[in-house]
Order: sequence, then structure tokens, then C-alpha cells
Amino acid sequence: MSVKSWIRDYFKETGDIGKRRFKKLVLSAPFWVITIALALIITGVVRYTVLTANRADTRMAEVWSQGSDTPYRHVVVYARGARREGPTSPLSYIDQDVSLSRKDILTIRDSLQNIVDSQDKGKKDKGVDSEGRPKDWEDCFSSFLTASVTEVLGDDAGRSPISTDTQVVAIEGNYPAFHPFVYLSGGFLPEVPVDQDQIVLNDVLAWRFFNSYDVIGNRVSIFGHEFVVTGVVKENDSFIDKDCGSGEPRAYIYFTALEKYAPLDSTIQTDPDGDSEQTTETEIQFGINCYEAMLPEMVNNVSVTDVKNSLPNFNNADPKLYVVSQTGRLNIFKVWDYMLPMGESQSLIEGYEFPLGERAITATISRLFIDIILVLAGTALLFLGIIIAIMRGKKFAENNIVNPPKDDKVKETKEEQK
Amino acid sequence: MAGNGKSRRWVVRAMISFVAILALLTFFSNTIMNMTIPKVMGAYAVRGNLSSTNSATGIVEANDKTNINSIGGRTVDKVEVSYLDYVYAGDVLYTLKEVEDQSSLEELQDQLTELTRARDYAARTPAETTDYVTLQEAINTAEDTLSQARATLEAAQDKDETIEAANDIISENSTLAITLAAEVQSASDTVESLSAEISRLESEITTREQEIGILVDLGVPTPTPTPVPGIASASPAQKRADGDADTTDPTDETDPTTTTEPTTSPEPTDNPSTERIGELQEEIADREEQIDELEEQLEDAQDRLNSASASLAEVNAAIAEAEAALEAADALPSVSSAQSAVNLAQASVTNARTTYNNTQITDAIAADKAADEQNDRIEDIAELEEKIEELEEKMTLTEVVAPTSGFVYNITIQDGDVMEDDKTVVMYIVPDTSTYSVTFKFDTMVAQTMDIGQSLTVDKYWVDDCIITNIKPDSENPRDSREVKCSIQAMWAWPGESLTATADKSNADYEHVIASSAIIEDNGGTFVYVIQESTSPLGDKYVVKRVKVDIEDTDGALTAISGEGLDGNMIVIRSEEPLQDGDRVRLEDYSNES
Repeated sequence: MSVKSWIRDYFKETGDIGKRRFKKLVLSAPFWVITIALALIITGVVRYTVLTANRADTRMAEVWSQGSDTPYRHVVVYARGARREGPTSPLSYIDQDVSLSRKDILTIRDSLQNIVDSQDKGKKDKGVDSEGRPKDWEDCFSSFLTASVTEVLGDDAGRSPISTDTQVVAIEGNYPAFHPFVYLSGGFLPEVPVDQDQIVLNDVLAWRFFNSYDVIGNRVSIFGHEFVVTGVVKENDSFIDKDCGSGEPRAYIYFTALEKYAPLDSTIQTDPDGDSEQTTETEIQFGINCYEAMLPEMVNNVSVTDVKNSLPNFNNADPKLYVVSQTGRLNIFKVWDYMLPMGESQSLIEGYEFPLGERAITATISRLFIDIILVLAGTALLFLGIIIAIMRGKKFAENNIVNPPKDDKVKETKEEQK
Repeated sequence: MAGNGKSRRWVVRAMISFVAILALLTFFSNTIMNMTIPKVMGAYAVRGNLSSTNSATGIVEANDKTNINSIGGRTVDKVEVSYLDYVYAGDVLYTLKEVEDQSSLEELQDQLTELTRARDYAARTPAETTDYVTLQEAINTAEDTLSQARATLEAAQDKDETIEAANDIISENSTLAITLAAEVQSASDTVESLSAEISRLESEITTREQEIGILVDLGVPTPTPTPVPGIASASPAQKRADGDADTTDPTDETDPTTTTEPTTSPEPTDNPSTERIGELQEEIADREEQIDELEEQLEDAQDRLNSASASLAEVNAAIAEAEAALEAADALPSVSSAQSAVNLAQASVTNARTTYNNTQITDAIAADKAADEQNDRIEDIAELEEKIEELEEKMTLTEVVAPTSGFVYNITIQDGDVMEDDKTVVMYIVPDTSTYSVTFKFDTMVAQTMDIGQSLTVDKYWVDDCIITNIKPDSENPRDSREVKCSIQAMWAWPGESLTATADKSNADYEHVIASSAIIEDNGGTFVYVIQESTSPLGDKYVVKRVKVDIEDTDGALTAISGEGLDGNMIVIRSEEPLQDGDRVRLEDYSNES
């Protein structure tokens, strides 16, 4: 046998082997297709379930309405503002189109209270309470900034106090009703303040300063003013939350404390007539980053419309405030609607500074969309695999592959051929 | 047979696998189940009291200090002092570089020149006067137009009545006019016929007189005049020519033929011509008598004719007047048009008056404005002159000296700094005799527990005492906040340092005090989850039960509550996730985390 013929036989045999393997692979294609399809579907469903379960902040309306026949909806309004010197400056109010101020909150409360009152014809005690808080529904608002927080040490500490840049969230209202925390000690800031100078730390900040979570009564200093620690909370710590900054130090103070201790500078505006000698000094208002309401909802999704109607200057055709319902936000249709068309939602939220929770929810939605795609792709593959299997079954039947000849006969035939 | 053996082996393997899985699941069932239920931490509500601590931070300030302000536009050459240096009055604090840029002074001088020129020009400019006569005439014209429009409106409003009255007049007078016309015609005919009869009789008289004349000319003696009435004098024609009055005066008779002695008795005659003359004279007398009667009738007829004509003329005039009124009424506009015209005219009057008043006001304002501008210019000039003087003084300044002795604080300038205004405090000097104070802001409720003279606890060791000297409402929030001013007693106090004062307020004891994290709120109110334990062969089982509570008080970290079923039961103070009534939970000890 010459080398040439040996090489030719080698490649011929190799090719035959490859053909047989390929044929075997093709013949077993339905199995792999269906296996991959099921893997995709299971992955998508499991991921979707886990990711959704991690977002308790989208189920706070269910918690609020437990044991009641009245369903509630958690609606959030995000507003924009300006920061004079970056993240370390408090959010300041720009105008009524794009920003919310404390005055706007009072207007919104009155309007929403009227709506809630109108749902109960027999209600006698209508209107907000004497201190301007809502009745039969809840709300809260918040704003945040980055500030240097310093631990306050006793005279005998023998070391320098630690300072760290911390996200300080200034809140007012029933904030815990909208944000599920795990309490490591103490509690959250009471809705009716007993001490304006109280502060709640997250576990990261508490551990960094005190190496402990049992730090009630300790003091920290922000804006040159001391605050008394009244609670330590642990925020959501899923991997998405960590990506979004839940592992960063964070502190919660009253909004009134922010207004009191981190005053905004006044601004000098030139007289609109153009007379440069006549200027007016205008006091800048604090901007509110996020307003949240928990509203009873007799008709599905009407609360979102109610909130929009209650916002001063809100234009549905050209929304300059971002209004979103947290309740049911992670269901498949909402996720699909949020993500498609691609980029549409992104353009709506440009220019907003979102707090940790909203960033985590947005990131979760992106992942949930991927899960939906996985499930859809898996489902398509599953159908494809089933169709291939059916077609292959028919082909086998046509070629008498279903009842092939006995193995002995095949062997005999092969030997005869040899 | 081989096939049956294979199947048997497969079934045995499957059963073994199934039993193994079941055993595995049973062994780890509690663990697997525990993974699905939330971990919670519980605590008992205990008796205790709540204390809320209120603190406030203030900045130490010297009660007696002298501020050293910046000098706008000047550059610091060298700062001669440093923080906490002790200086004596007259010591140099910092020196200034020479002024190179005179532009600010030149700019002020230019402004002064401009203002001075503007003031002079304004003083020489003659005052502008407005001609009000034209405006007044416009008002008068508009008022006339308004009067006419109102008259037209009134007429238009009375149009129907006018037409009705005119039609009544026409209808009433038309019949009368016809009657009067007939009467006039009748009287006219009578006059004409009487005149004709008179003419005929006069003609007959004339004929007879001519015949008499002929007879007389022929020498026929005239008969003795018979005292026939009316023929005793001249001929009737002459009498009529002389007038009726003459007929009553027999002394004016000029006819020589007539007998002047009517008392003489007639002389009988036998001449037929004479008789003829007599007959003719009798006939003439007869005719004249008829004429007299006819003239009386003619006079009556003429009177009737005149009266009827006058009445007819009056009636016709009334009809003509009524027709004219009708024509005028037809020409009148509608009431709405007339009203519009009145409104328009009224608006014109108002506009004219407004224009007049506005012009007066505008002129007055312009005059006041001019006066104000002039006054402003004068004030600005004075101010500028003062500024220029100050600036010139500043520009010549080379150093700033301490006005008093003391410690230097808060130096905010350094060598080479350009000072932009005159209001910035670049440092201040505190004499060593100065006292110190600090002002805290407390909530009103907290401040109510304080008294003047009371000492506050502060966080700085170097403060010997912090005594309240004054409590007053916070100007920024007078309702809810109080400014508490304290005197600081310390060996050394440094202005600018912060002090935190605390004011404790304790509450009464409470039966059930628990961490605030245990309190949950939903639309049903506030509640806690009580942990209920049950024991089973598979182990302990914990279930949470919702218990409604009332919040008695809170200090933020702890909350005093009251409610049923709190005694002896653990309450959930920490949970991994939001719970619901009846949820099974895992009791977990988190103590190793803290």
C-alpha cells in the first residue's frame, strides 16, 4: 500500500466516521433541543422567581392592605432638582414643572385626601388631620445627599473620630411603610418626631463607626450638628442591591433636620426688566427627590391617575415628573412594557437622581426582561424540538426505522457485505 | 427472558432510588422547610421608662469683639498676624499693595460727570405742555353726539306712539277736510252766484240810469223826486264807487240833478217820459234794494267762505304735519340701533374724558418723574462724591492697624488675596476682658423645662459652667423653637468652637416597652406580631399572631405599648421579610452579629 493510498483511506475513514457521528447527532437533535429549551425555561422561571422575591419593596401595598378588603397601591413620584456643588449639596427646587417642594406636597396631600374621602360617601371626618398628615392612607417623601458623617467620641476615647462620606437620606412621613428594613436594633424615625436630632444608621455605617449594631444612644455628627442614633437597619442585600450601592454607608434623618442644618443659600436674581441695579434676593426651597403614597384603590390602577392629577402642573403628554406604580411593577407585562421599545423608558428617566431602591428595581427589571427572553426562547426551542421529533418520527416510519430488522440479521448482512 | 430480566432490574433500581430520595427528604425535611420560612427575632415587652434626649449645638461667641473688615478692591500684601496672636492697638494687622488699577476710581468719576451733565441738562430743559383745549372740544363734540343719539333713541322708543297719533290726526282731519272743502266750495259758489246776481242788478241799474240819462238829456223833466229809499242821492253806481259809507251821508250828494228837498211833495206830471224816468228810478231803487240784500248775503257767504277756508287750511296743515311726522318716524332707526348709537356715543364721551384725565395724569406723572429723577441724580451725585472720596482715601491706605488690643481670631485672608468688598470680616479681635456666650436652639416643649440661671450639660470638658441667661422665641421659627442663650464660664474659651448642650426629659414608667422595630402599621392600625410556640414530634413550631396595640409613647428606639396578650409572649422585633398573620417563622438568635 502506497503512502498516497494510505492517506486517502485515512481521510476516507475519518470522513465516514465524521458523517456517522454527525448523522447520529442530527438524529438525536430533538433530545438536545428539548433539553436546552427546558434548561432555558427553568433558568428563566427560577431567576424570575428569585429576583422578584428579593424585591419586597414592590409588595409593600400587599403588606399594608393585609387583613383588609380594600386593596392599596404604592405609587411613587420622582422629581428633579439642582445641586449647587454636586452630590454634597442638598437637592434644591427648580420650578413646579420638574421639582417638588414641601409646599407642593401639601397641595398633593390635600388633593389625594379629597379623592380618598370621595371614595367613602359615608365618611364624616374628611380632610387631612390637624397636623396636615393624611388620613386613611399614607405617604412619605425623601431627598438625599452625600455628607461627611463623623462619630462623636467621649473625652476619654483616646483616638481621633472617624469620618466617612455617607449618603444621608432625609425623610418625612411614614417611610418604613414603603421601605422594608430588617431592624438590627432600635427602630426607625417615628412619623411624629420626638426628637428632630435622631438618626438611623444602616448596618454598614454602624459597624464602621462602632463595630456593633447595638449603638442606640450613640452620637454622630453631620453638618456640624450631633444626632442621636435611634436605630440600625439592614437594607436589602441581594446581589443587585449590592451592585446598586446597598453596601455603602447610609443614614436616615428627618427632612426638617436637613432643612435646619444644611441650609440652602439664597440666590440673587436680576430684575426681569433688565435694570441691573434692581435685584431681588430669593430664598431657594429644598427639593424633594421622591414622594410616595399608599392609596386605597377601588378601581384597578386608578391611583396612578389620581396621583398624576394631584401633581401641580403635571402634563400627561409631556411628563416632567416620573410617576410609577411600585405595586405589581415586576409582573411580566409591566416588565415587557417598561423594556420595549428599547430606550423609551430610558429617555423618560434621564436627568433623575434615583435613590437606592429605585436603582435596584430598575436593574431588577432589566434582568427580569432577560429572564422573560430566556423563557420565550426556551418555549420556542421546545416547540421546535417537539416539531423536529414529530417529523423525525414520521420519517422513521416511512423508512421503516421504527421497526428495524433484528440485530442478528443486520450483522449477517454486514458480514456478507464484507 | 432476557428482556424480562432487564425490566425487573430497572424496577428494582427505581424503587431503591425512590426510597433513598424519600429517606433523604425525610431526614432533611426540617432543614428544607426552615429554608422556606423567615427568620425572626423575638423579645419580651418589659416594664420600663422612656427618656428622650434633646440636644442642641451652638457656636461659642465673644460678647465683645471688634471686626476687621476687608477693603474692597485692594490686594493684601502681607498678613502680619496669625490666629490667636495678641495685638495692641495700633499694631499693623496687614499691609496692602499699591493700587495699580485706577479704573474703579475713573469709572466712578465718569459716572459723576455723566450724572452732573444729566442734572444740568434736565434743569435747562423747558417743561412740555399739553394743549387741553382740543381734548375738551373732543369731549364737547362727543357729548353733543350723545345728546343727539339719546334724542333719536327717545324718538325711536316713541315711534309707534308717534305713528299712531299721526295716523289718528290724519284720519280725524281727513273727513273734516272733505267737509270743509265742500263747505268752502259751497260758500264759494254762493259768493260767485251772489256776485253774479249783484253784477247783473248793477248792470240793470246802469242800463236804467243810462236810459234816464238819455231821457234827461232829451230834456224830459225829471219827476219830482219821490222819496224812494236809496234813490235820493247820486246814482247807485257812483254811490258804490264812493263806498257804502257815503250812502249814509246825504250831505255829500254832488249830483245836481238830484232833488235836495225831499220834504217837498211830488208834483204830478203827465209826461210819459217823465213817468218813464220815474219808473226807471223806481226800478233802480228796487234793484239797489236787491243789491243791498244780496250784498248782505254775499258778506255772510264770504264770511262762511273765509271761515271754512281758514278751518280747511288748519286741517290741511294738521294733516301735513301728521304726514311729516309719519315720514320722520319712518326715517327713524330701530331702538337697538339707536341704543347702540347711544352706547357708542357714551363710549366716545367716556374715551374722550378718559383721554383727558389720562393726559392730565400722565403729564403729572411725567412731571413727578422728572422731579424724582432730578432728585435721584442729586442724591446719586452726593453718594458718588462720597464714594470717590472714600475710594481715594482707600487707595492711599497702605496698612491696616488694630483698633484695639486683644486676641486675633478667624483670619480669612492671606498674602496676595484680592478683597472684593468692604463687608467681609477678615478677622476679629477679642479683648482679654471679653466674656463668651453660646446660643442653642431648642424645641419649645424642651425649652419650657428650662429657666434662666439654670446650668446646661455640655459636651466640652473645658467649660466650667453653661448658664442660661436668656430664652426667647427663635426668629426663624418662633412657634416651635426657642433660642436659649447661655453664658460660658471657662478658663479659656475660643470663639468659633461648637458646644452641644443636652436637656433630658424622662417619661413615666410603662408596663410594656419594646423596641420600636416591633411596631408595625398598616391600614388596620398599629400592631405587633406575637410569637406562639407549639411542640410537635417533629420539633418546635413558631407561628406569629397579629396583636393590635396602642402606642403610649416612644423615644424612637423604644416604644411603650398596650394591648391584649402581650404578657409572657415574645414579640417579633426583627424579621427578614414582611410577615402576615399566621405565618410560620424560625426563631433566630442574632446576638452573634452585634
